[in-house]
Amino acid sequence: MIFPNYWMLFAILFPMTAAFILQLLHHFAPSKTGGWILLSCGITSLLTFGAAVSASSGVRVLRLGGWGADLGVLLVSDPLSAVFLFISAFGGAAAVWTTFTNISKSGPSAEQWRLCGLFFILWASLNGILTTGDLFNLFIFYEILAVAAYVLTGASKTREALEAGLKYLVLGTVGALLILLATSMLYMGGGILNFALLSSVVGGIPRGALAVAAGFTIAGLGLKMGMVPFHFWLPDAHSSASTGVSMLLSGVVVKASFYSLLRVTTLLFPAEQAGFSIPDTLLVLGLLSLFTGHISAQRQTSIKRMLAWSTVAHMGYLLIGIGCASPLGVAGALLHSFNHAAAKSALFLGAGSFSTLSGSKEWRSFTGFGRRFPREGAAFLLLAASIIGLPPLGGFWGKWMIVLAAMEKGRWMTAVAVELGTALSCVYYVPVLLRLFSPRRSEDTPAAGAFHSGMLFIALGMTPLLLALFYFVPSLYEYLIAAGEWVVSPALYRDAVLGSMIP
Amino acid sequence: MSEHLLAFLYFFILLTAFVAIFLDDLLSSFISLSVTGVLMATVFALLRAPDVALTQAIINSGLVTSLFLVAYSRTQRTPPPAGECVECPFWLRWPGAALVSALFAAVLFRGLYVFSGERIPGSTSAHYLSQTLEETGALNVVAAILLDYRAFDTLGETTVIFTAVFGISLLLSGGKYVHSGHGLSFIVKRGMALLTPFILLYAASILFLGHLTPGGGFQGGSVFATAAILICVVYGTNFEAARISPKSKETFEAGGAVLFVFIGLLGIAWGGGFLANLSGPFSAGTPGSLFSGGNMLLLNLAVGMKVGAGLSSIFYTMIKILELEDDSWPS
Amino acid sequence: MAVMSFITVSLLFALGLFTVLSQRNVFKTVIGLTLMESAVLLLLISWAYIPGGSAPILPLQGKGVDPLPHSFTLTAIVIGACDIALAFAFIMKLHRFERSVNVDDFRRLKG
Repeated sequence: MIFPNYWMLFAILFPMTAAFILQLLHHFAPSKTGGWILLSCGITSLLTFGAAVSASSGVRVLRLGGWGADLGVLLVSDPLSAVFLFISAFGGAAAVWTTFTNISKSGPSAEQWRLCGLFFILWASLNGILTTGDLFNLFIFYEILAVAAYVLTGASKTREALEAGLKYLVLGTVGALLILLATSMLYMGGGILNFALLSSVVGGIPRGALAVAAGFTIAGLGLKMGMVPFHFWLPDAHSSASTGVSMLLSGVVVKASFYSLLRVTTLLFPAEQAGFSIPDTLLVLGLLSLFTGHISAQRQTSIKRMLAWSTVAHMGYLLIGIGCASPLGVAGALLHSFNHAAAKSALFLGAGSFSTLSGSKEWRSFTGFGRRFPREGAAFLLLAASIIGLPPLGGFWGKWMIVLAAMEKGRWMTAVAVELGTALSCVYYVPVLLRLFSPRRSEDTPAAGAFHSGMLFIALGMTPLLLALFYFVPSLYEYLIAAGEWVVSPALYRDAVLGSMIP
Repeated sequence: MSEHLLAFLYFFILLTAFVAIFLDDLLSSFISLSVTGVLMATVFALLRAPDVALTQAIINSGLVTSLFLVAYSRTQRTPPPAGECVECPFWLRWPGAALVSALFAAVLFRGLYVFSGERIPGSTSAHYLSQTLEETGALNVVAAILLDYRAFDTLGETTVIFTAVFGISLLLSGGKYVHSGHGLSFIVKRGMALLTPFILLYAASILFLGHLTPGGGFQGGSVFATAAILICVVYGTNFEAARISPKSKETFEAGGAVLFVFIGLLGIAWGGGFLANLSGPFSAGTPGSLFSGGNMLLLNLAVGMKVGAGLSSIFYTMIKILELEDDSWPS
Repeated sequence: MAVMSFITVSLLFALGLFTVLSQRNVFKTVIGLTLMESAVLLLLISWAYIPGGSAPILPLQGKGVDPLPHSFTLTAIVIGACDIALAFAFIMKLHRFERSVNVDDFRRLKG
């Protein structure tokens, strides 16, 4: 059974090649570009979904070029990658679709097709990050992701977007160099770059070097995922970009960095070797992100900036989840990544559409929009409630599992802090909702236009209800817990990958 | 290799880097940075890394410096911003930055210091050195790693170039080449005309002999790009653009990328896995001859197309922006 | 020899970091990024060197140096050049708005 292993390769190759072909098509058959974009979007989503399904039933290892783990590059997908591949399949498709419909509405601009090409490259690199089994390969995919993300951030070419793009570029490059430095140090110590092999020789690396490499890795990946104190660029980048880009960056891209952090720290930096406890460090950083994000979000008048700060806070929840270092905590973080990806993408889509209608990014200008568009308003309400973490919705259960995991470890203060975060997020989401459903109509409210991508938004608005099922359907819940157990015991990954190498 | 020579070079690397940072005049900074790049290339050559030395010399001290100069010339039409505090020395202005960097250096050195013992080569590198000829048919081990053992990394890397070119075209779109710049004097133009065939021959030789000698697609492609830049400098901005349009450059670039993927897919079709070389449809040939090393010649061609077209179109896109958009500047 | 290289690498990286953190001209920031990148390249290549080793071109004379870091370095050089080119594209576009290359003018977004 070789074939199931190829899903992940084609989930990387296809979108990459789609971008190359898009460039050729643009020059030789410009009228076909639109169709090609839609077709590739569908196929990529399908391939990513296929990769996720094939990985969720077991570990898939693909040797590229036929070389073994020590000589060549391996692609590995496991139940952990599967969770994030699902996010990538849906998040990527939603973002490309939004951008594409935006473009076709505003008329074909000369360079706008390039946006879609960049989306495909970004998508390819996301899938690459999620399935690579090699440290240096991870760095390369990070660079592809970063270059595409910088450009997408600045693509609207407004002053704010360019400034955000430049900031993102400078900090992102520093982060990439830190990751490269850590990679070099691990190579110096282990003589190998494959995750599984490196994980088995990591015990031989001197403690001092490993601790420094761990620090650089956390700082570098933290920079990419917007972890406090490396978060400066995130609110700028996520709020200045266009709607489709914000959806992808805030919903999916930061999750990929979270995935790498989870993978690298659990596999390569076991607590007894690094000399300091990685989970505890992540827990503290997570708490810092949580409070910084929630408190800064309250000061924002721009809706997109508020959502971007909220992303910083939610990265905090995820970090706390893995900081608990138990299957339950990791499972909670996985469920929460899912929920946050869906809800935050959809909220950015909704916020972008409301902003287009009112002509302003300030949420105070959204007076009465919820009444004028009742279905979209209800979807927004549902999503906001889910992201705040109100009980029947998906967003609650992820946090709840994290709280339970913290209490299981006797960390009562952490559990209280997570719940406090919920209260803090009410403080800034509730005024927006009140404004949205306020009966008052201000004079400067523009005439009612069409709600952009309404169907997609409504569909995404339903996801919090679906995601709640994860907690109640035993097979789904057990899947998450199994993924959590898989993550916290690196020996399982190691044995599975190296075992598959034996012919 | 003499340690004293190395120490001397290290000292000058640090010195030129220091000068590049603290000179007020940006042009001098760039020149100093370029010298740092050349010194680094020398160090790489001394440390027995000829491929890297070649790449460093062409890309980091050649192309990047030219990009620095282009960007500088496009942004220096206005006087330097007011409020630049030149009098007070930098160490008073940013003690925080100095402290952070010093701490960082200490931590980094602490982490590296444990490796200062005897260097024992790992089994992977030993395998590469002893088995490359047999397993790939190439003589240049670095090329074998880049194009065979870890060819997937190279695909990713060429995608980075593609993305950067794509992105720069998107960001700087809207400009147009303007008939300006008459280039340098007649003598220089004639001289360039005489030199050009040799530069192109050199580029082709390091591109196509990449699997046998130091060099390969990256280096060859960058020399092609350098030739394009030189022609632009000597003959004026419009000359080269009129001959090889951005459209054909982009076609070349995307064509190289598609070729790379296609060669990779051939490997799957023959059952050897993606980007498989000798276990796929390719044969090793006679070691040392041009047609050896399986698909490496083709992959080098693909990478060279991509890098050459990509880097030169970055340069041309950056040049073109300028002339047009002056009018729309806020005054 | 290794210690000497490590010292140079640490100092070069710190010098680049200092530039990124402290200098106000955005071109200097880019110079800082290139210096940091150079430091990592130097680390990899100096680690690959084995006293008395020869270049990894077959046939070898005696023992060869480690070829794997060479391929990483090659990749990193090209990627670094792309990052820098992109940074210039951003700077040139921003200069149209601000008519300035001062980092302080690129810090309007706050909060």
